[in-house]
Amino acid sequence: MTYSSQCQLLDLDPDQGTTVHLTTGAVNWAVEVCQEQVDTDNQWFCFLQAMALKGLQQWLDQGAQALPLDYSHKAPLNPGVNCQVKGFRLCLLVQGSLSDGLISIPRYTLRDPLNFAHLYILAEVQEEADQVTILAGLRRDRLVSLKESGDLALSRKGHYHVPLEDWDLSPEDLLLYLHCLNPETLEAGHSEKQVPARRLYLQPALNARDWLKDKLDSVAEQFHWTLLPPLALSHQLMSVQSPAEELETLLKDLEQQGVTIPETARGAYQELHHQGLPGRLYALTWKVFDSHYSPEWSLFLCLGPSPGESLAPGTELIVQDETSVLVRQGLNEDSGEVYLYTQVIGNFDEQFTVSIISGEGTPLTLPPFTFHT
Amino acid sequence: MDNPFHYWQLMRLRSSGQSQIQANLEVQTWLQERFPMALLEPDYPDSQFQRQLCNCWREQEQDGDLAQLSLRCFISHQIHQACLHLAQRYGERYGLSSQELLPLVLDDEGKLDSVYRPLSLEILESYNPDKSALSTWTRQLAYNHPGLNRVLLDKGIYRASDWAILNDTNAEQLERILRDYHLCSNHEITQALSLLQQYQQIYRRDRLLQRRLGQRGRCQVPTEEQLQQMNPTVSSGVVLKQLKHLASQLREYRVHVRSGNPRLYQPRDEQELETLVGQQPGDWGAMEDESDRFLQAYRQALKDTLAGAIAQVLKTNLDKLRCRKNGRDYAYLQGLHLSQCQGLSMMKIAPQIGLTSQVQVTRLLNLKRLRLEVRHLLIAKLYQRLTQEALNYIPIERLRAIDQTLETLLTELVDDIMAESAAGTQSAQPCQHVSRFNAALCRAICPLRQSFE
Repeated sequence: MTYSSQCQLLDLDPDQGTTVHLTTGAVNWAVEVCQEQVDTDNQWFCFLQAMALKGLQQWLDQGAQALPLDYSHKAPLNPGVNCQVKGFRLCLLVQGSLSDGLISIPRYTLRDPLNFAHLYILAEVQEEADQVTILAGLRRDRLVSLKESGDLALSRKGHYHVPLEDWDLSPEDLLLYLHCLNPETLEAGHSEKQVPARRLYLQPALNARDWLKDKLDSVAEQFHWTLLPPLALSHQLMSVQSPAEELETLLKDLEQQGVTIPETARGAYQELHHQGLPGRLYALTWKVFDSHYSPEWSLFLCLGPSPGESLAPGTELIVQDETSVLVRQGLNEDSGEVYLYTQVIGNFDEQFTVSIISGEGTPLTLPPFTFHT
Repeated sequence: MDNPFHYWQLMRLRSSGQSQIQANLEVQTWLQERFPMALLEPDYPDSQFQRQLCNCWREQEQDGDLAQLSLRCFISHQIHQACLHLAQRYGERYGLSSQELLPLVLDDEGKLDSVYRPLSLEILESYNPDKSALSTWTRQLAYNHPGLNRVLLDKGIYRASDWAILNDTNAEQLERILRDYHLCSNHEITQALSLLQQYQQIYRRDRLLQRRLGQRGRCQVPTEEQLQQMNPTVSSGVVLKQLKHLASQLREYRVHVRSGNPRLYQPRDEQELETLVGQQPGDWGAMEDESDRFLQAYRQALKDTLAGAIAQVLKTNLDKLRCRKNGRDYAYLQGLHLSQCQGLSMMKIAPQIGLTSQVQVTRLLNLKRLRLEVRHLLIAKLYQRLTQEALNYIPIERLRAIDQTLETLLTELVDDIMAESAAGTQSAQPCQHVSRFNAALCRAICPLRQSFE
């Protein structure tokens, strides 16, 4: 057979073991679900994405062992992590009739510490034939190492372009993982950003209890903390919002979400540029009286942007006690959130270490917060 | 020139459906008088000869109609070959025969002033000698024939239309492909981007509207009205031509990508699986890390667990098939029996279980998935048993090795008198060597088939 006729045959898609013929119901669902998109460009992409999702579901259902596919029926068309199977967070990516040699992967599916994808699945959608073929897969750790080797281009839109030949998992491999593997195996040791090690003994701690007495200790001063006025005082709105006003607005919003901070709380803030990172960190502390046990103290933290700016996606706020990570919050690319906030409670002799990782991945660990009498 | 007679012999279909060569003496005589050197010279390039004939026909020289017919003869051979290639590649597996394809595209009767316009004439009229070889152009258009594509799709072979490719290409991709692959200028890229945008705005919208109304199937050529909406300032014919050109550029890139990734686009392994019956043990090299002691433990463990795992998978599959509208559970069981216990080919099995092609049987039995499901069930059972560790902690590097070890062990030949009697093959040898998997599978199938009878 001549070269040219070989090539012409490559233009054809013979039915494969992983080709799924979508049911009429599945196609109708895909047509309807994409209608919510106003933009026509998005609408078509969502249509293909919805077909791919149904195709993946049908393919998984073909087997004897149950692999139920979970996805949000309201918003199934998220281009990032868009479905789950048995605890595996999957990023389903669509190849249309074009068969592009580069597959675009949203960056945050790799970076988001709480919602990264365990596995990437590439599906080819043949819209005209109402068919979907599961083409290949890619493991998170493999993508991380591709990225670290510097071989991946990052597009203007914040997507990695992964060449087709790097998709090294066959559909059968995907089933093997889904059947037999614990998703945690794909997490361990491969987290893109490690939590900074705590430096318990090297750094002096600051005493947040002093804030309640309207003063800052030397460690706090050294680290550029600025004391905020008591919460009970109300502030007049000025043209430029002061940190106290910003906090007040934020706390009002939080109150509507059910987060209440007692009026006795006192806080301080610092501009993180003093430590080489963008953003502003608020900390509030108060005694917890209603406990039946030994007295406790609470630390509320809020990480927000510097005035006139916004926090980069991938920014993280991490709180650790002496043994483990208590909280790890990350800013999603698409979440629309402006702030990261969290609250921890401990005995008077417990201390908390706060770390921040910037959008570029620069870690910062602040002197621990204590509450000494 | 390799086959000068292709220029005066027409490949055509007889009413019986057989293809037949029909020599045209008038054309032959004319060619021999007009181009005696070209016909005799073995190294004379076809492309140059075709260009000469093209010029002769397009400039309406005297005997231009004979030049045209000569080129149509050449094209008829190319069309014929294209169909043979398709049948050769996909015939057995997809039940595709050249007899079905040829009547759709080989429709030239060799008449000079016929009202009927054969495909070969269409191909010739759209041909540009500066852009491609006539043989390539012919195949491209033959493979693009709507009727042919319909038959292919019926058999399970899909070919994306130009319009589907244009629908599924976004601006970023187009820009990259034109710049990096086709080395287009910025000006060309800008023009193409705006053309694509104009097209998509209209065509995608209408396509989704049609789909909402329940229409399906291949994308149709844009209508006159659609083309006008896309670009009111140019004639619709021009827009159509531009779109087709853009699509052909994308298709060229598409084929290039696919030829670089044959693993994804031309997988053949499934077919090989069908002939696994009685095959020699697989790749022991993959199991280097498994010591003899460990393998021994595996074999023992398999003895205890394989039957259970197969029964479990078969039961679920049968239950699922039973629930469907056209309950295929018996066909499934019978198909498995005929293929795995009797060793019949999928092609032979098809009519026995009410199907028409090999690919339908392959899809119904889905042997690859069956084996895989059994292995994966076994991994869960064996790992815990052998390592005393919970499956949750199975390391990722070990997983594939265990899976491969299992596949090899399942492929291993065993003496199995039970399997032979279970299969009920009187003609078989007294002591049959079958794979461990097949022995266990046939043992599981036998009582299930009896329960149907």
